[in-house]
Amino acid sequence: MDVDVLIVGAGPAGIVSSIELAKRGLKVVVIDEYYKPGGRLLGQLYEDPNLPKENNLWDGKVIASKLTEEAVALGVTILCETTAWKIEEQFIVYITDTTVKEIHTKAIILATGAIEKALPVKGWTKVGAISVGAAQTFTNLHNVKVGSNVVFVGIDPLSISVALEMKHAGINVLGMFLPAPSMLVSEKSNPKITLETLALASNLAPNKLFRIFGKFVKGKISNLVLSMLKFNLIKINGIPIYLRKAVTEINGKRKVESVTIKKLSVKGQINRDQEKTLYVNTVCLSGGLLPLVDSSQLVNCEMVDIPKLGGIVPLHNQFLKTTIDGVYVAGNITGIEGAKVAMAQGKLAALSLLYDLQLVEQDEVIEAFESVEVARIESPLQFYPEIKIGRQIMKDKWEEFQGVRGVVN
Amino acid sequence: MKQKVIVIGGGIIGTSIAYYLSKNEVDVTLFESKDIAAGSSGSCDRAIMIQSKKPGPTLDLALKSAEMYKTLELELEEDLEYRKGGGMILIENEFELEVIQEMVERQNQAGLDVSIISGEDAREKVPLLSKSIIASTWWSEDAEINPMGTAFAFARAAQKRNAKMELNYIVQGFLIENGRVVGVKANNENFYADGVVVCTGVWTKSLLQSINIDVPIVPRKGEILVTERLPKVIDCNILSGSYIASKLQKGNDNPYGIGLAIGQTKSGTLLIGGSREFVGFDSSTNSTVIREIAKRAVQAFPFLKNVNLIRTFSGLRPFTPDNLPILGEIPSVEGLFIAAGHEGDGIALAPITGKLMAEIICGQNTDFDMEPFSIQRFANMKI
Amino acid sequence: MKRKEIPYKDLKSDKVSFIFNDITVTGVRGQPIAVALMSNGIYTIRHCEVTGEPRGIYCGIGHCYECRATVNGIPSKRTCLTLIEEGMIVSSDTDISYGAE
Ligand SMILES: Cc1cc2nc3c(=O)[nH]c(=O)nc-3n(C[C@H](O)[C@H](O)[C@H](O)COP(=O)(O)OP(=O)(O)OC[C@H]3O[C@@H](n4cnc5c(N)ncnc54)[C@H](O)[C@@H]3O)c2cc1C
Ligand SMILES: Cc1cc2nc3c(=O)[nH]c(=O)nc-3n(C[C@H](O)[C@H](O)[C@H](O)COP(=O)(O)OP(=O)(O)OC[C@H]3O[C@@H](n4cnc5c(N)ncnc54)[C@H](O)[C@@H]3O)c2cc1C
Ligand code: FES
Repeated sequence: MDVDVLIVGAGPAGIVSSIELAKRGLKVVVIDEYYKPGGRLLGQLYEDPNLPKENNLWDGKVIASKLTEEAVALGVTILCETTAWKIEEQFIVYITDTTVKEIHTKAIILATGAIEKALPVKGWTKVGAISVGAAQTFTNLHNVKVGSNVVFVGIDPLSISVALEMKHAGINVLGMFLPAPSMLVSEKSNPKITLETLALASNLAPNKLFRIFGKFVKGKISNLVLSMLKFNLIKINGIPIYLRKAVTEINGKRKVESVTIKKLSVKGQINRDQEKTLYVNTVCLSGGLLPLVDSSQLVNCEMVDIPKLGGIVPLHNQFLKTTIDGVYVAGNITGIEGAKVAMAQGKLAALSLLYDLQLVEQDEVIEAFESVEVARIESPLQFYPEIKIGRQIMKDKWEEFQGVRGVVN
Repeated sequence: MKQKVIVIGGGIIGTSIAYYLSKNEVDVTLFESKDIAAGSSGSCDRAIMIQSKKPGPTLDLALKSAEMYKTLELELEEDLEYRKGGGMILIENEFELEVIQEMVERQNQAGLDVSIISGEDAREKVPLLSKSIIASTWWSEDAEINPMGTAFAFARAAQKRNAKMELNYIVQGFLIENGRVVGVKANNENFYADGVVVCTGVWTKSLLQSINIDVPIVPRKGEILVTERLPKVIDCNILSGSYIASKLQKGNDNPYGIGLAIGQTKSGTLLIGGSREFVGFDSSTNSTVIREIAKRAVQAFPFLKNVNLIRTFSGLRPFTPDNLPILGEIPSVEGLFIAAGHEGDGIALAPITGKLMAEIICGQNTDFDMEPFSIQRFANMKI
Repeated sequence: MKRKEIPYKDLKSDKVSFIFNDITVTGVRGQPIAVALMSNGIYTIRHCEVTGEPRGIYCGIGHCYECRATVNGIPSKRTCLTLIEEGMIVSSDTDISYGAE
């Protein structure tokens, strides 16, 4: 199959890119390993404080199907249940589809999104211990209850929002806890860091649910955090959030039957003496999100580690060009943010590519760049509070790299 | 005072030599530029397969080495995943049968009781084998081992006998006084010893070039596919006869030198090899080669079409022009020894190489004529 | 592999029946296997090859491979990605002999 642009990932970033490119007459194919397009939009369902009150439901399923319809109407081919396993220069992409085995393309946009970090609490492999993403997908996309009595381990903007969605769906959410401290989950078990992160996220996003934290954030964060940690319990919409308690073990013979809970000091040390057992049949683990970057390693993109963006990401400029000519990135592969930012980045990557093909004017690229900033401000969910600093670090690293490359050439 | 010897290279050959030297009461220091088994010994197959080796000096070494492997786990007190499951060369057509029959007769004359069994008998041993296989060889003595594990086990056993393992040390050159090696320079420091053994596999040529010794070892790349973990399906070593036959068939082009080799690791993954390519030190994997290997694997084992590959990797075999390793003292520099160039047999030959080199370095008699392995054999060769 | 009678097929409804380890399970068209199983109260999909412990879904979106099963003879299908079909046979066992002529 010969195309102008191949897009890996049919999440919000990938589909929006495909629409922009197809509008300008390019032949575009999007591949996705899931059985339907939409990416992580498919599981999203919540009230968006930035939308008009009468109609403020952000239903990712609906948005995804609208975007997909628009793309298909413009002639975009979307191949689902398809993964790329090798990408060779300028560019031959080998895919797992049984009829189309390779795609020859002039340019590539990588929009593979994010994956969840594992949260290896003792007993986490038991049946009934699932990731927060699975809980979100099963509740909102599939409308299936993952359990009747549920606890969350890991307290962050995503897990709080999923807990609320589950409660809406009639599931009994008994509480949210931190994971027991271990080498692998150090920051996640620190009450102080957890609260600071939440406070920062709420400060930036004027969401109803995070305003509860925001209320306390008027003063200096550190003072506030300390005073808040004196309380053992905060409730959001009736869900108890225990910032000073950790799940140390998930118990059960064949599947999850209970969790063991111990008290934590402010700094995240376990109090060995006090122990409580809570009977539940499901545990949702939230370890945070990581950019899914293996496709960019397949094309030998230069990679950089920027924790403020979520981890190791392909080096790119502000217009989403990578270090490999003809390869662009969009969405969570560039750093973890919400769906609105991913969509805006999808458009930017497309315009950046079109500009390189001399099919659009610079103004349009600049406009697309600015709308990413706007989307960032309007996002109800903020995953990494210092994302803007992260983006600046990326800009500096790109310039540094260009400098080195300039000297070499 | 104890004799002091420096071993350069922490592959299966260097670690084996370090072990046998330390057993001989030698004071050993091994320098490795990365980590144990970071070179070819960590990116290869696991066969101790002897049935197809040409009668001659290497076969004699290999037989002795295979004998030593039988008791190595006891000796090193470690699990090396040793398994003597036998070995098969698959035959798909009359031409291959003819070629393999000749090979088997030759092996029988050399004293190896390799036999040819029918397709049915082959499928009895390996039930998932394709019906298109008309016959196969069988030798019960072929075995396998975990090469990385074995290199580490040799290194640990040597350490127990006070050998020192200096990892992340790059040997940059040799210290030579009056035609005698007195040590090496590594990480910009000098280290002194009574003898030095070079066991740097495919990197030997460039290292010895620094003292104007020419060694005709070049890398020969092999690519390998790894499947997901499976229940036990293959208990022996399997090669395809088509590679052996294709070498005799005129006009049969096989540019990547692909010959099927399949075995199953203890954890259940299948290792599916392999290719033979002269492409310098390029160790990338190539989609054409991967597909071609996969195609042949599915031909031999149809069930594989439903099995997922989890990764591919490639390794470099230390190739010599006459396919024999180079073992012994380097005549022009007293005290300098070499053990490299085992190409596709380094795993199989590791124990005997270690034992023989330790004997040579300690000035003892060896049970083998070492002449065929001497570096001198290349002296008159144009390279 | 044991083959069971193909369940009764109702073309008019959106219901889809398939077999999981010898029992008939009914789900709704468009559901992945793992979802249909869970809505029928089945959480254990396979057992770990090494420890024998039961396993169910973990990530729900195809990343972790915890939800593998043999589907119509093909091993290691991720049940959170594979949609149910009428008469489909899903098994916790890894039966790799399928496809061997
Ligand atoms: C579990 C989870 C929950 C989230 N919840 C929210 C939320 O509630 N609100 C919010 O705003 N944001 C949420 N996010 C962030 C989310 O990533 C963004 O909202 C947005 O979906 C990112 O869009 P994207 O297009 O970059 O990636 P995604 O939406 O993740 O889409 C990427 C697509 O690429 C496909 N893919 C990946 N690799 C390959 C490959 N090699 N070959 C083929 N296809 C591939 C995937 O199947 C996927 O469909 C969540 C993220 C995760 C992981
Ligand atoms: C694909 C493939 C399949 C194979 N299958 C088999 C098989 O089934 N059976 C079999 O018997 N053999 C097999 N082989 C062959 C076997 O792998 C090699 O013959 C063997 O590993 C060589 O071991 P070595 O110790 O000589 O080399 P290496 O393992 O490469 O060790 C050399 C070491 O020297 C180090 N080094 C290099 N330069 C320096 C320096 N300047 N200073 C310090 N250290 C240095 C390197 O880092 C390296 O660790 C296979 C090989 C390949 C590539
Ligand atoms: S549950 Fe993770 S792949 Fe299916």
